[in-house]
Amino acid sequence: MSSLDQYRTRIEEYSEKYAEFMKFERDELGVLTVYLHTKGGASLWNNFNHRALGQSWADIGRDPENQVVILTGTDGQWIAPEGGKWTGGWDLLWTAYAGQLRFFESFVHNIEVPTIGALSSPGPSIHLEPALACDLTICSDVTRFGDFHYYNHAGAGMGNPAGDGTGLAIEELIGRKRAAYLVYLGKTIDAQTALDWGMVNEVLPVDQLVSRAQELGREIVNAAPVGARRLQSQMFKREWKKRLADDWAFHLSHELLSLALNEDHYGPRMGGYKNKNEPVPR
Amino acid sequence: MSLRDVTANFNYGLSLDEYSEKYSHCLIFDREDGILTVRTHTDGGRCHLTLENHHAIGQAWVDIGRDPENEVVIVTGTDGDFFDINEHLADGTFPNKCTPDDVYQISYSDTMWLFEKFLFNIEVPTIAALCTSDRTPVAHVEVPYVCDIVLCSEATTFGDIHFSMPANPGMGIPCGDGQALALEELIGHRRMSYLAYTGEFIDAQKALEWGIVNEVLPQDEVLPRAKELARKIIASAPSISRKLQAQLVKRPWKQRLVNDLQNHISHEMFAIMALSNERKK
Repeated sequence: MSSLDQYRTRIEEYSEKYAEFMKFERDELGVLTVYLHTKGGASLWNNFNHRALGQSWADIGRDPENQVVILTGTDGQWIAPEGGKWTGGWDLLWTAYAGQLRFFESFVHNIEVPTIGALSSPGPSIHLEPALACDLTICSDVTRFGDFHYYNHAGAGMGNPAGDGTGLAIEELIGRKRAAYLVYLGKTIDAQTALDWGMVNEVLPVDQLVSRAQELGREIVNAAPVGARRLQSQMFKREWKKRLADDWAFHLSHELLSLALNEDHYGPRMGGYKNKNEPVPR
Repeated sequence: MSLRDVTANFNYGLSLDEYSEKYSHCLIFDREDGILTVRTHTDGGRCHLTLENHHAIGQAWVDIGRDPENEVVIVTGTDGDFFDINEHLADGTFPNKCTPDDVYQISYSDTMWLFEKFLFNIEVPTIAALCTSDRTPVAHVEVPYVCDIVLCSEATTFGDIHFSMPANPGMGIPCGDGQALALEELIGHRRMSYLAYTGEFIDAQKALEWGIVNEVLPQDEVLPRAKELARKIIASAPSISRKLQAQLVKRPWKQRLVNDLQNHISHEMFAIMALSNERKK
């Protein structure tokens, strides 16, 4: 099978390619830990890592040496809004659609091995969806879960539909009624409630989070041969794939349609997605 | 920095030159005004469905899809065939001479990537140009089937030979590689189960009547017509509208594949592995 080597990816290459946004670490069993970061600290969300992360999943997935993928943040944080303005012209809405489509869908489709989310997000974190769509998810005891698109919670939200995938992932895990309550009222639940509601598998002190995820990863690798592990993980990814095929584009288009309809409302915060001087790109 | 710059500067995929080189063994690329034509080949002739090509082409869809300069993608074959059915995977390597890891990679993962990644990674309008000249039964045309628009030559025929296998009578396997699933989605359960069980093929005219293809043309007019349609699509609407329109067209396929493709693959592969273990005894 050596002729196939030219089509695979390698950790040295994608480590360098995504160095600005992600750090990679792999043990001798093939348990890959992916740390999201910005300049070595907590990951801050902007156009750039939005696009980069969405593209990275296909590179991680095409490296046959990855046997389990752990997704985590840095400094006990997940992803926080950068706070800066998004800038751009007519391209923004498609860039947002395509980037976000991949950030969630490509994670589920292009990584075929068991996945573990190790989530620590004490503040109003955003974009929890890939960590929640992992086969297993564990979290730190200070983590809080919610979605801040709709309800303007401490300035974090914009009064916009919760269509970026976090709302969808939360609804899939805890049910409609509970998700609607969190979204409409901007409420959050704590780690213990998330455990009780079946959103996470274990709650741990933040300093034990990643080492526990790696321990779980090694247990999974040791339990079965590679083909069995991958086939098993396909069963757990199936429900997410079905849910995304049914609803993901619907959620995205509703959030973005709302942005497009209400430019006067969102425009100042978004930096204005329409640049009136720029021609419509063909 | 504008969003346009973000798209240009934060593109983590390969350029056309780079993926042309990477996949030169099995694919030839040609791009004009944003219209990318992807042609399968082996040594400049019909593309052999070797294990390498079966793997590589699935990987190629990711690289094609990440290139923002591709506005419409046309897929076609060389000498009229997308894959040469006579140069098939069943060369004796698979599955008997493979390690268990290889079997997962080859049988399950590569089959999934070859089909599903085309749909999930290429977000622009797609057109298939099937240009068979000699009534060779087309094989592994699941990717052409799920293109947004499908054109074929007058000689093209459609069916599936996994179950009723002319080359290996009495040793059929389930039609589970995705081709029959795509065809069933297009023509319905009743017609598909008949083609699968009997191994019969239908001709281009019937394919037009049954809604498999949009247009039937003389062989040498198929690809030029595909390019003409691509230019019309680009002239009709701005880029964002074309991509959003394409998402609507691809949606029923995504739902169908997510629901059924892996089930089909596991059934075909289960039979192959069971039969190969039987032979080893």
